[in-house]
Amino acid sequence: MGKIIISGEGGQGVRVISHTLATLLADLGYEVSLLYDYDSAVRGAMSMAHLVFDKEPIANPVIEDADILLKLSDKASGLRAEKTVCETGLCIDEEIPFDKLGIEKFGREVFGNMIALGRLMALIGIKVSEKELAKVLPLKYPEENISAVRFGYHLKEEDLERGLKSRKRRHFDFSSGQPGTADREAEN
Amino acid sequence: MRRLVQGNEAVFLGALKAGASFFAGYPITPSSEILVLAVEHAARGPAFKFIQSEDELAAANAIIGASLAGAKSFTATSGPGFSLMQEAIGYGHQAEVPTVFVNVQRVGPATGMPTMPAQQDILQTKYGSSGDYYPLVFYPDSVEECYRYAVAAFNAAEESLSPVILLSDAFVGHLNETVNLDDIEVEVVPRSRLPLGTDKRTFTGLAHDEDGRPRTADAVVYQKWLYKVKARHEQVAARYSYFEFQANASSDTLLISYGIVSRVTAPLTSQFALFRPIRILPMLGPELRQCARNYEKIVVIEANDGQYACLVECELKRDVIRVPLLGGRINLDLAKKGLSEKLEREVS
Amino acid sequence: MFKDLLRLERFPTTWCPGCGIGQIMIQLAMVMDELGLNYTNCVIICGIGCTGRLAGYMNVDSIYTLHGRTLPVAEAVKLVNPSLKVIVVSGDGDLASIGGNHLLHATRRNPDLTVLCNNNEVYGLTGGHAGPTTPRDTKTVSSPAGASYDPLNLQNLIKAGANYFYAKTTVYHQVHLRNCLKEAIARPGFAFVDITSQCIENYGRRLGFNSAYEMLLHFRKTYKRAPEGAETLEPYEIGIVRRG
Repeated sequence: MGKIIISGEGGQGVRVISHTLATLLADLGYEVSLLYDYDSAVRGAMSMAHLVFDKEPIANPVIEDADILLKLSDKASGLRAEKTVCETGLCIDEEIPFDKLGIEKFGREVFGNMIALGRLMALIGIKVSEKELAKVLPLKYPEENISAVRFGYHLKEEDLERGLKSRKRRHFDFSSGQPGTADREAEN
Repeated sequence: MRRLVQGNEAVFLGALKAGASFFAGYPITPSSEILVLAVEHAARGPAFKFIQSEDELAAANAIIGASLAGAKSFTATSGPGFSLMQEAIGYGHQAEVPTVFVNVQRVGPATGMPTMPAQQDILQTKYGSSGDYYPLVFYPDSVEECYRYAVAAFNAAEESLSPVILLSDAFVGHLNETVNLDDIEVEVVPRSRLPLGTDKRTFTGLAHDEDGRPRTADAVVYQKWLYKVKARHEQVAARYSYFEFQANASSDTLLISYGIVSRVTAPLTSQFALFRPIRILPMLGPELRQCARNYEKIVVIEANDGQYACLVECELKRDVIRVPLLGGRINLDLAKKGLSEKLEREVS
Repeated sequence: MFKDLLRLERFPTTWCPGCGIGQIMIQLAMVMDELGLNYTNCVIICGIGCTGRLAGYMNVDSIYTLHGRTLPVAEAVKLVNPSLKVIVVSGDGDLASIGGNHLLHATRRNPDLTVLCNNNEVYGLTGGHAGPTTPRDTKTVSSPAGASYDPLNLQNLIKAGANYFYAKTTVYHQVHLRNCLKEAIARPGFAFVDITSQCIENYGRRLGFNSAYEMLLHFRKTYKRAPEGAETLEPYEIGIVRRG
């Protein structure tokens, strides 16, 4: 079972990231539940997605302790996760300057959310062809989106300000249906 | 085909499966997806009719008219809109009109928390309109159930000749789950009454007799009518006695929950017996009595301040412990915390 | 025979002797008979108030709706079964006060409905309370010092739509009323027939009329035909204005 929380604010792509990831997982044959928890404003207010995937049907779609938390803004509080991937300054685990990279590499801040999606896919260990990925991505900006996802998937230290070297390195083994944790030496 | 389906989407697809061909509604979070699906479907062909009404009063009355004209009709709203629709719901009971009102609940009262789930309209489904009436109310807890019980709602409407309420909430409505709706087999009850334009009947919100003739000063006729309707609704309800029960020989407590709360408390099955009503009204009296028999304590955990608990107490004539989950925060941690507090022991 | 369209077995009706609604009903039945409308092709939708009782006296499928909600119900009926002629008969309060929002949107959506407004300037059934068309300074049960507001200008409200049909007539002018009804029913769109009507018991008597007959004579004296081709009806003019 895998439990992912994506947390941000309205407009940052929480829905796009989570729905795309959920669809990919569903297409891979998992049982998936995706629950949205968001505040009442079109832009700028809290927006969260709880994504659970498993071999068996999912009983409780609301996550207490996530395996991975993707934090694009700090509008939500009290979230617990084994591993946190966040925008710069929002956590002490793995910081990635999504906004900055979005602009630098793809011309718009908002492509940062596709980079985040790619990083999540890498962490979970999802392997899909670009064709399959293109089917589930938003229709607008298809090339930039695919490139951004690919970029996030293959993120290396030199791409980042602070590096992917985080205090805790977690290896997630979702293939057995059980989240496994094993410390690993950081790779250079 | 197996795919990710949203709760609200499943309600809409269930309505279509049941033969619905008319939707009137007003946009309101968190039910607006149903309205959008309806307008998109209407654009695909002339058989399905759609109106975005100017307000909920118009929408509620439109589905009454559409039903009398021969279409299986429905609307979808949330708490504030549901309040506006109460008069029309009462009208549907008085004039005996089959139709479905979907209420995807949010925190209230009034504008409340538009995006946060709640179960605060339970008593409104029972007492929201003026007068005595006996509504049938269903409340699914998963995407698949949204589909199944949407169909059930339409069927129950046809059999009872009344407006049936399908409840949901902001979490269930927007929940995406992997399902294969094509694999789900359901039966559909056809429309029995002839549509408008075939006879000389009067459909009225006034008290009336068997011929539809207004009888505004005859208590005997009124009582006869009311009890006839009550009996009919009870008979129909008996065919729709949907609930889930998991006994627990090692527990002295029966935990009752429904809708999204029951999903969140599902992991507590090792510590409690669990009862989940899917038909909220009429009360599952005999079923509750039977299931609660062997348990010393009854707890109702719900996203309101004790509304279903109130109904359970009344029905069972037993004290019920209340654990409210308010303000849209619905998760297992809070459930455990609330249970621990009320049961005065650690629930973990 | 227009009488076939009436449930004579339920007569005498609930209306006061001399009430304008009875006369509107007869004229409507005559027009329906002339046009071949009956229970197989026509539905009548009535609102709340004395006018609403009309549904129960006609031999067609009818709906007696909640207060103010004739238009949403009628529009839905028409949408589900466009082959039916849907005729709405209601009062000024039901259509223009509690039903006002729906009237506004009918001018926008232009559903194919014919609306007969029994405009007697009062809420008769509840005892004679002021309504949206009560003239300023008129004393009623809920305006004992005289009505404080100007009445709604129904003509202008109906003219808000891109296409419109507004007929003004009175119960006295029977032939004119029938002609308005015929044209309104034939029109494929929203047609509003504003019929000045007499409520003798709960309105007229308080104004000083001794009988319904006196009120009818008053209508004859006060209302004049609008000039041919007029695009706007002046106060107290009967006629039809239309666009599209």
